[in-house]
Amino acid sequence: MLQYITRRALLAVLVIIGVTLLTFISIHLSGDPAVLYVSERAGPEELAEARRRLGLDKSLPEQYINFLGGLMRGDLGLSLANRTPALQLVLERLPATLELTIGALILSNLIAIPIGLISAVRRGTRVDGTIMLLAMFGQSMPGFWLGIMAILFFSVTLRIFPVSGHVPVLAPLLAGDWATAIQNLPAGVHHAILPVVTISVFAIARNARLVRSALLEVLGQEYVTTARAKGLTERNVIVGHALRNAMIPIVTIIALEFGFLLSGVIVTESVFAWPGVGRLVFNAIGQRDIPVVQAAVVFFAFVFVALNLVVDVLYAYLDPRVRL
Amino acid sequence: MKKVTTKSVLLLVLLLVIVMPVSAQAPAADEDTLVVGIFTEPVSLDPARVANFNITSLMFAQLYELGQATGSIDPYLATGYTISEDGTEWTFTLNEGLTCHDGEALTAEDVVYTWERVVDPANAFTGNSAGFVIPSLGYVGARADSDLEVTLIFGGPQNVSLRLGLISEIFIHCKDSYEAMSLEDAVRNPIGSGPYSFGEWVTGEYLTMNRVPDFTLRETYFEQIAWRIFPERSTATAELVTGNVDIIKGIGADQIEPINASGIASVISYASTIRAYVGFNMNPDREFSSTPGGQAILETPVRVALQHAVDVVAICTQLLGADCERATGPVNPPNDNASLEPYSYDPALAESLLDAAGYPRGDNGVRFELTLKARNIPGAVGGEVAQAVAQFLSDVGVQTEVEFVENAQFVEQLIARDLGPLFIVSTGGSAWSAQYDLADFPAPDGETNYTGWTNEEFFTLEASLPSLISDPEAERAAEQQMLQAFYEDPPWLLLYAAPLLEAVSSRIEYTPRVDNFLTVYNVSLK
Repeated sequence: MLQYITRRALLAVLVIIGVTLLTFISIHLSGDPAVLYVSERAGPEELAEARRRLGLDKSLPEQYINFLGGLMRGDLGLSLANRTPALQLVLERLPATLELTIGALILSNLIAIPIGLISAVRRGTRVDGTIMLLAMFGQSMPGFWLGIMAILFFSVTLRIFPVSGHVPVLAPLLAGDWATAIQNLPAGVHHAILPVVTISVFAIARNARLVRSALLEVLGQEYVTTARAKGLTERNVIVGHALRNAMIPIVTIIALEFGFLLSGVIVTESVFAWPGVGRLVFNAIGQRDIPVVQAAVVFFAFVFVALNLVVDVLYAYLDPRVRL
Repeated sequence: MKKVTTKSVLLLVLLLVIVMPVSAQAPAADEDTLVVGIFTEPVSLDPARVANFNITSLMFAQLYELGQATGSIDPYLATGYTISEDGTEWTFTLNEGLTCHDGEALTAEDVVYTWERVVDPANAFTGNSAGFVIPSLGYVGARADSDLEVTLIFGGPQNVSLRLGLISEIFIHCKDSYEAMSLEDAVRNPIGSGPYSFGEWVTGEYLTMNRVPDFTLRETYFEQIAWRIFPERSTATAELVTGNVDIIKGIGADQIEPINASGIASVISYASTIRAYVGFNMNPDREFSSTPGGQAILETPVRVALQHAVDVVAICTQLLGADCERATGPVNPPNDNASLEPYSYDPALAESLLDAAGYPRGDNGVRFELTLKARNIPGAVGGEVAQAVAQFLSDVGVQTEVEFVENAQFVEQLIARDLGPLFIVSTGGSAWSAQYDLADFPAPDGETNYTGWTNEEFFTLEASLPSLISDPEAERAAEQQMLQAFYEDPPWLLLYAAPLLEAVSSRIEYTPRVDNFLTVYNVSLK
């Protein structure tokens, strides 16, 4: 197992380097970052001076090698825009994004697994049809539209949730400031409800369909028939035998979903003015702030690779055949 | 006892969360707090690297300041100035008893430090102060003559309004405070010299500033100003109509109706000092220079004819949701040439002028083809306006295609003068100096003469301006003649001073400045 993990970790380094190289190239293909750091009436001289001051006058390979050297030392450079360490900017914003991501992950699975299960058990009934119809709607609605509609209805018309904003809970918690975290919790949850629900809708719909199809496949297996023949209750058959085996693809999706949610909340963070990593990266791309984009990319690549590794280990735990 | 079910617990939690008072961290609009919605977060609060002029100008004061009244430049930290005979040394007298927000006395030495800090290569500042203001002024150095007298030294004489206006873009900060700070600290922890001191900056959310009680140079109404950051415009509108925001600058035309219908806020529009135009790229040896369209726009009669092809007023009304007047040149009122009439929208005249210029319609109805480079952004020089202009030109037989270019590439190509043959862009102007606005055309080969325009009369007159500094009337006459030359041989397809839409809460009394700055001296509760 250790050898396996080591091999995967080495591969992960290559993946991260590859991702950073692609990001670096794509950012430079879309224009010279220096033009965004000069005055409105800039001429070629001012532009050249800005390039020199921002360290963008070096050749692209030289810039990239410098970046890799820094990466090895754990130094991802300073933001071009405000000279703050790029990784620090990403980590500062991370708790806010984690609040949304964890909230959405919990909410979506709390809802998706039971309704997927109900839908599978009652296959072909009106309940199944209704759940699948709603799931289709859930997957079809763009997060941007849903967020705006939620604000219009719940915040502007009913006025029961705030339009936007964020009250930190996780950040003080991580800093060991329990008192502030607890004090902020009610308002934090209040502010988080609409964005979390907005993000969760797609995940609920997809996961419900996934749970349903995984369960339907398992419910047709002989060992389920055997379990029923042994006289086990339907609850024991479903939860104890069928659901556990159906969880293998579900766990894969859920674990990877955390990564997708983490890196994919840009739209929701923008709609709800939520100060997370997604918005940071979005702004950094707009400002061609390469160090910040690179720091975020390295961070997310690392998260994805780590999650993949966790999924593989979980696979081995859930399905002994994988260990053979 | 009745069993407590999971369902009832969940319902109770949900109810508690919903009815719980919102201890919102972002400041709410109240009688002491003015909340302004902005769409872009400033990347820096360093006064030498200004990212948001409005925010910086409330925390830091200047020697002189652009006044509330159109065109005025008012004394601020300084009470007045004198100019040496050769026009190279400007000596300012400071008010007595000035301090920075940490209590440090603000003296002439701090003014010298401010200017030297901006130009210090070790600080590697980019942007307006270091990149534009300093070179435009021809700044050479500064010296403290006494605690209250400071002399700024320049390479040569310059138009007084222009120089004073540029000086008003440098924000004064105290030496001891900033010498003790790293550049990184200066970005996030400003120690100002203006009417409001830095409060709190929660990145991605809001920034607050608090009134400095003993700052007496300007009168302010609100104890606190909060700048809330909304990346999404409709979210800002929702906050406005729920009473949480007082002013949003630069809203989209699509937001006018819901805001006006809310009864809580309304939209006001006004012509800003930002000049929007379509440039004719006449630089030689470009990819498009040898095309029929590239050749045609070199001819003055063609460029005049195309002015008549575009209904600028309709574009403004229909696409930007505002009424506006067509510009007659690159200079904003009141310094423009008032004797010039805006080009009329007259497609028949445009067609006859093009015929007369030797560009009749071909068998396919096309005279020649052009490409209009634009950015796919909203607003006065956005994608929709570009498409409308292209359609108007196509209607008179000048087949025009819009080509969208990503923003950074657009700016890069603009500076390299590779955008063309047509490009749509805006440029910041002023209400206080004709020469500031004319600086877009410093010389035929000047860096910001993006069109490559070479009108001899215009540039000869411009070259004569420094010799006329001592004779304001002659100087003004030369400026007017330059504008006449510009009008008759236009390097721009003239559009408008970009109309700006602001949403304003009905609880406040507020008149926007024409230059789009927000100094809050003119804001109070009703």
